[in-house]
Amino acid sequence: MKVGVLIVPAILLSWSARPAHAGPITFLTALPVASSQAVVRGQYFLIRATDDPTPAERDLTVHAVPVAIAVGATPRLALFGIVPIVTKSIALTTPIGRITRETTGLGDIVTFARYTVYAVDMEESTFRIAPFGGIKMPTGDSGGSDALGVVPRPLQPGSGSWDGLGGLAVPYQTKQWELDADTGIKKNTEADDFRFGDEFFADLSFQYRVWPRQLGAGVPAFLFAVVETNVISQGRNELAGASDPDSGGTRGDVDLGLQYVTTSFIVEGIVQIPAVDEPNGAGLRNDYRFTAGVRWNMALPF
Amino acid sequence: MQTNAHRGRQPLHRLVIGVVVVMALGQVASTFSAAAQAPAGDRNQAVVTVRGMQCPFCAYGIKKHLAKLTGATRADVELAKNQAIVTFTPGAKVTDAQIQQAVRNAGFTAGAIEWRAGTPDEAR
Repeated sequence: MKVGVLIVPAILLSWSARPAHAGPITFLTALPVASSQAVVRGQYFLIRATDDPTPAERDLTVHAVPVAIAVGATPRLALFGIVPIVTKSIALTTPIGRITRETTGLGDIVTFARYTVYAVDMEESTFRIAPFGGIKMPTGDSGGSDALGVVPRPLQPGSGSWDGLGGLAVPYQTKQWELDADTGIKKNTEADDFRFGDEFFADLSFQYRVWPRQLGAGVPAFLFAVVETNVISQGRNELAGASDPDSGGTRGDVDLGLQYVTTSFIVEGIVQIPAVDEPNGAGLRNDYRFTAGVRWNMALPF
Repeated sequence: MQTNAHRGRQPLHRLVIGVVVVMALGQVASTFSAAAQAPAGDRNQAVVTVRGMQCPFCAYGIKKHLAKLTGATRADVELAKNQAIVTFTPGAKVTDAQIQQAVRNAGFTAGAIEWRAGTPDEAR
């Protein structure tokens, strides 16, 4: 069932490095998580990919609900954990007719640390630089099957492999606007004769406060208009040591969203539209991706 | 000649001494005046300049850490003014260093701290 392997797999990166504090919606920021404080983030992703250049007319839908927690170990060190629940389904035309293959379950848990190595706090702005690094653990099922047999690896909830990720996050924040950038790599390893291609990602986010126009007393809630861009480039997958020519590629998204920020919670939503989508070979192109989420601030008892 | 010159400088010496005495008396008066306006026991509210605090979500940690200080009865944030206002029970033993550390624990930088008299309801 090679057709299933053709799916552009960057979806696995979707939750690998992206929970955080206020700031960008689709990627990590380096704004602080206070010590003895936690930020819990729940998200919902919908990914649709139907632009199939092959006669298979593949139609991919991914629903994912990653729950992330960020804990401030010290004022500069934050620890992150992400537990995703995912459903992936693909409909495609085969010699026996139109079929659908689907998996649901716990995905791979990601844990990483972020340390602020440089911070300049001014009264009207803050600038920080924070590298981050961690691992993705093979907690998700990578060998599930349906009535047609074992489901192709990119459709499995888990990758089966221990993978490493690392990068750098840089925010500049004022009360009126915020600019965030991050970049990093994810190094994937082999499991059961299959290895996902390594990934490089770079993101940019601009958030502009559209309400309130003037700040009042106390701590007013903010409404931000958000524009983001995401670039993901992924190498080809390897199956039994052979490179899959129809996997990997480069995609660049432009995202438009809104973010409502209060002292204790954030509600946000964003739509990611591919501006550049160049999958290798006969890879499937994304139509769009929608993300909605909530974040809560929590004080820890220790 | 020397005697005349010496005599000529005497008024200048008197003037310098007079200015010094007046300044010293002014300083003493100022000290007593400030003490009268805000006796140590009444200055139970710290207005802390917080650098780096730029959004509502960031204010959460600052309020929580300041509210945990010994004797603190409430902590409020004035985001537009870059200030946190902490009210303490009268006679609470808290130092500027402890307040600065609380702001650091929240991930930000404390600036000037001004003590003033305040009531628990004042910042509400």
